[in-house]
Amino acid sequence: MRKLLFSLMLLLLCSSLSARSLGYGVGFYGQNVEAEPERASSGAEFSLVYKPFLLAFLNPSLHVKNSVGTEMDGEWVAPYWEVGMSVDLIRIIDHPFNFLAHNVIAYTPSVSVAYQYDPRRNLSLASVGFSPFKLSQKDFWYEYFSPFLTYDLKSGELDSWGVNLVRYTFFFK
Amino acid sequence: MRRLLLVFLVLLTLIVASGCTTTTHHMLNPIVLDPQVSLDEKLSAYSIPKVQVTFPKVYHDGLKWRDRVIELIEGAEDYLIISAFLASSSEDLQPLYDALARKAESGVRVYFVVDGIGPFDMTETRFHLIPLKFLRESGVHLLEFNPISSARLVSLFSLLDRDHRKYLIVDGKHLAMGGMNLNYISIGARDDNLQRDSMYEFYSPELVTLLLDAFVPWWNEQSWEEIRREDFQVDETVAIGMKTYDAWYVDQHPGSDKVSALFGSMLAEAKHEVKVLPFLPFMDSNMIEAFRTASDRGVQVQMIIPFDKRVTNRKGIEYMVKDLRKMQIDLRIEKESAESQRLLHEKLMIVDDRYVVIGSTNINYRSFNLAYETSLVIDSEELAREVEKHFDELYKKTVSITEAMAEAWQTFANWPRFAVGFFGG
Repeated sequence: MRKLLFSLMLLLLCSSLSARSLGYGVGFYGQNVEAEPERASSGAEFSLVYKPFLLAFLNPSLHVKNSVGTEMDGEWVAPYWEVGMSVDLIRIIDHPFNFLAHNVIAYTPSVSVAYQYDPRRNLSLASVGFSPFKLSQKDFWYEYFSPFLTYDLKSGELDSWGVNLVRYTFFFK
Repeated sequence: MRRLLLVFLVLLTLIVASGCTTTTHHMLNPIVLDPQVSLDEKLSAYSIPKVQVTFPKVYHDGLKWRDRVIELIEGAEDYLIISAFLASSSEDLQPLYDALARKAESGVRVYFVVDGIGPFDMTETRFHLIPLKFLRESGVHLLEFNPISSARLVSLFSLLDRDHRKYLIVDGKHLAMGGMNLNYISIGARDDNLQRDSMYEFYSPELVTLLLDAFVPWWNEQSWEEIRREDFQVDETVAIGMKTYDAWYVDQHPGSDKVSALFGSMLAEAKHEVKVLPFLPFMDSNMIEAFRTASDRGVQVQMIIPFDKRVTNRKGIEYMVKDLRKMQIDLRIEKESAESQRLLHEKLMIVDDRYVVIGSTNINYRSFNLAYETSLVIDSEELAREVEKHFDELYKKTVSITEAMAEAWQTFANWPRFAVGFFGG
């Protein structure tokens, strides 16, 4: 864990702050916990994102996320905190979805890996995610229907799965 | 856990709130007000560059400017850069946009920046508004700055940042800037919907270089269609043999202190007279204080507020007038007349029959803090004489704003209009 954090910090420090590198995001998630279905929750997800580069292939970014939602019984919970890294696999500018945006928008599907902490169960998890419908402008990301899986770091077993129905990230600096 | 959540929320709030700043205190900065410091030194202290410009041709008629723009477009051989804040086609503007499309199809590179507020244009233009997306099919590189959509509501206060600049560069040779947009009410209407405004066309290789140096990285920050500075040549020979004048140029960005420093310095420089067309004078206390300070020194300041037939804008400005009277200047408003039905959209300041400040910048909080703007001060007595005649003609059709008028106008019902105008006007 320390190595991961150290690596992330190193990447952050080594990379020059190019224009529009820092952003925040708001999304809507739904998550199901395999062993405890009553802990299934849905709600809002907030994120801070740092993207130091604008690479056409394998463009990395770092994120910190927090979710706030309600469980099946209506109780308010913060089911996960997350720190991790995403990689935009490829950037395609000529695609059929350009009509959706005011300006030229890139199709940038991404994958992510992250450390996740579930404060309800004091549980450390590894999360993997995929954003197949991610559209990017230099100052804005639009992500839809992004599934994720989490694994118990101790047992290595699948712990939960979920979907980020929508997530908008705005890069302000 | 709660503490962590609190820290996270505080951090997010700080990020969101970081968009709300004011720079107008720079109008009252001791350096700006110091009579011992020269204008050149004051502007240098704020990294405001000095350039040479030729005597400008002034356009006060939107239809004539439209014809000139068409002429400039048709003469372009290499590239065109247009920034227009509000731009849309209409029946009357079809020849202009057809010319632009033809030029792009012929291989001339066309970069066209419009602001994202355009589709929400609430003026008469809304009845004559054809969006410009069709230009992309001809190869025009069209960029809508900071578009407004439901998804982008996430960017909160950043949605207030607007690109209000109006300028045109053709082949690194021809340059124009001023207050005219490229929409129906600016350059298309043939009736009293046509605004009164101004554009200035001149030569200045130095200023074109500055504009290009700023434009290329700015464009690349917004668009995936990246461009290179070395692909935009400047004609260095264009002004050879022509008389030139000192000028200072500000490329204002949201949150930058430059426009505040520029206008503060000009007011501090004034020795006997300042004449101002502010367009929408939604000023904050620093701006009012800067004008009052000039007035206290014995400078005669004349300011003309346009008659705005748009009720919401007019009532918002009227609400503001009581505060504007604290400037203790000759504050005037245009009489309601057939002529003033055509909105006076012009932005102008003339100082001591010598300095002329032109560009896109309104004298208000929004232009000084929340927008991309251009401002150019030209040190030319000849130009000052020319535009002063124009100002004086306008002045004749105004009335002084009395205390009784200001009292009557500052009603609670007008406050929402003022608030909208202050941040959005």
